[in-house]
Amino acid sequence: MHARKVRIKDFRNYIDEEVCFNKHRNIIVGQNAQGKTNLLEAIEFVSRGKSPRTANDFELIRYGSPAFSIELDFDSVQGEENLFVSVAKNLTKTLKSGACALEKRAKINGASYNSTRKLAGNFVTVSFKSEDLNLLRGGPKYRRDWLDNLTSTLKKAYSQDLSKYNRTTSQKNRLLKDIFEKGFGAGSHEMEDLEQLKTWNQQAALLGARVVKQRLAVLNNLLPLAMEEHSKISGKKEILKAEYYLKRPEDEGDGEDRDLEEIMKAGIEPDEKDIARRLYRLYQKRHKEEIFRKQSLAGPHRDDIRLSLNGEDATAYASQGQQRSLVLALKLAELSLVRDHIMEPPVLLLDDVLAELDLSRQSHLMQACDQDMQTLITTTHVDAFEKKWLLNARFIEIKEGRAMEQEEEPINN
Amino acid sequence: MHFTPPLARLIEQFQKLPGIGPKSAQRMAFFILGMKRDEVQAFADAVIDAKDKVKNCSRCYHLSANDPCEICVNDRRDGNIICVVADSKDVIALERTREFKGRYHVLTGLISPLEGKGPEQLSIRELINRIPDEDIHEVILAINPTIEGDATVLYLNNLIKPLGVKVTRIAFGLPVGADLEYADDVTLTRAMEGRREV
Ligand SMILES: Nc1ncnc2c1ncn2[C@@H]1O[C@H](COP(=O)(O)OP(=O)(O)O)[C@@H](O)[C@H]1O
Ligand SMILES: [Mg+2]
Ligand SMILES: [Zn+2]
Repeated sequence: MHARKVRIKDFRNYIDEEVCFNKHRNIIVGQNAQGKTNLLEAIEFVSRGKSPRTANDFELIRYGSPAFSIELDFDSVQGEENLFVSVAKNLTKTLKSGACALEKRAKINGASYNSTRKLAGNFVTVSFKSEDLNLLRGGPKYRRDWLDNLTSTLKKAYSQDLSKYNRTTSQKNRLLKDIFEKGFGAGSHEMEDLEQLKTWNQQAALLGARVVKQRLAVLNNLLPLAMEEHSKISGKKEILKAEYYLKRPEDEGDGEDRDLEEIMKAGIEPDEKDIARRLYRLYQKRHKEEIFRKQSLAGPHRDDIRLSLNGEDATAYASQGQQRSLVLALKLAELSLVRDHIMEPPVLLLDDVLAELDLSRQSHLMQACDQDMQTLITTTHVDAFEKKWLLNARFIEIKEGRAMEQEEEPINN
Repeated sequence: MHFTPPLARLIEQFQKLPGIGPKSAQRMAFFILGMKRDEVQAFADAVIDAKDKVKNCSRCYHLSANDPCEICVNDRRDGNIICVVADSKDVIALERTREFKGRYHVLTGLISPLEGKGPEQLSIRELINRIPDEDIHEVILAINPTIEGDATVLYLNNLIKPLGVKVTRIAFGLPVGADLEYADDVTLTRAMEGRREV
């Protein structure tokens, strides 16, 4: 897959800009806050139908403009393809929340849709950003978001499953709040309220189990590949393991929950029904605590993934260098998983990350995408790169939302 | 410069309707002013008449000018099987297919805490009472597979199953005869997941 040309209008700090890429390496250079990340964000937006940085598309519209649009021409094994998306402020309508309503349009090879989510899965990208280097050290949300992103690339129904689970959790949280405010134990509708809570618990457990099962399936496919990449990088054979933590409310230490085994080893495929039963029992048993805290305390929105090397927790013990090697291994494994899934190379987006890696880790990364993979690499200065990675690259300079090609290089086949 | 008060009031009334913004409300009000007086009278009469005469059937909660409604009094229908829907519109849609010969029960909405709708706001208790009263053998749930629809189905199932009554839900997925090409990806994925040997 190769992006040929992207046209960006009123998106972030771009007014109206057209950028062409070559089929291999494209280096996007510029000082800070010029629009390098914004350019990759625009490409990810057409790739996923949403921004990796914000859930509120309003923020993406250039200050003072009524709408943004992005158009992408790309080549895939299917041939020449075209994606278009626009998001416009609807000034005649305000939402209940007081936010401005947005009107969204998407076109896939000319066919129109009124939701941007339709775009996902057409132009496939894998991104590696400098923030991703914190994958192991950061909070659980980093790891969940990373795994969710990868899972939605690999499984088409996953984003819908996840958003259904999230909506169910919002409904349940509202009910918990209503019950709490009525004064739990004193209300006239107590039986009905608990019966309703049971229903939302069942639904959250069923949908939550579907989410967990798909996450685990992806994790299980990823691990052996990551382990192989990791031993290539570190030169050592170390055993990489992942454990999926089913989060539960704070343990009171009464041993009552022993039957709720909290850790699932990646490598075994758990039964979806089994996860659902486990979650449901947990919710029912802890419903008083959930009412008191007015929120759902367990489920995929609170779970975590822990990685270990030779039995040592990667978060706690690995040095910064080791952590970088491990993140790099995970990313390389992700790349080959996605490549196998779509049966052609995806486009690799590297945001500020190359300069953060030492020369040996840089070369592992660059070798993986050397042959037939298109890469878009952003950096503030090229001197951190080894010279050979600059050969045959197309240079695009970004300054205050304008793109300038530094050297003319026609797209050659 | 403002619209003269009677016109401003009319615009304001139209704006109360769902999906009608200030622009459309103005357009409608101007259209009314352009109509003949007797047409406007007929319009206004229809609004009041519908409001006065149409009520929820006291048995099944379908909207009707008669109580009990036409469906509830029709003796040729199977009285032991009941089809549960969210809304009166769904009764009309199902009746058009002429497939179902039993009676209905309209819930008047779905469970949704975010919209302040709990089981108490719906006609659920009345449905449960009908089951022994009318000797119901089977309950068919014709409820859309949304988050709120699924939760309502679970809630009803939890209440009805213990009564020893058969509960089924109508199937969703690829419409019969639909061209696979036009089915959206997620529907297709689900259809593949749920495929059975033939
Ligand atoms: N909606 C917007 N409208 C106009 N400018 C924006 C908008 N959102 C972000 N920006 C600007 O984009 C710039 C940051 O661009 P970014 O791509 O993150 O920089 P970098 O080149 O360092 O990656 C900032 O100057 C910021 O003010
Ligand atoms: Mg940046
Ligand atoms: Zn009736």
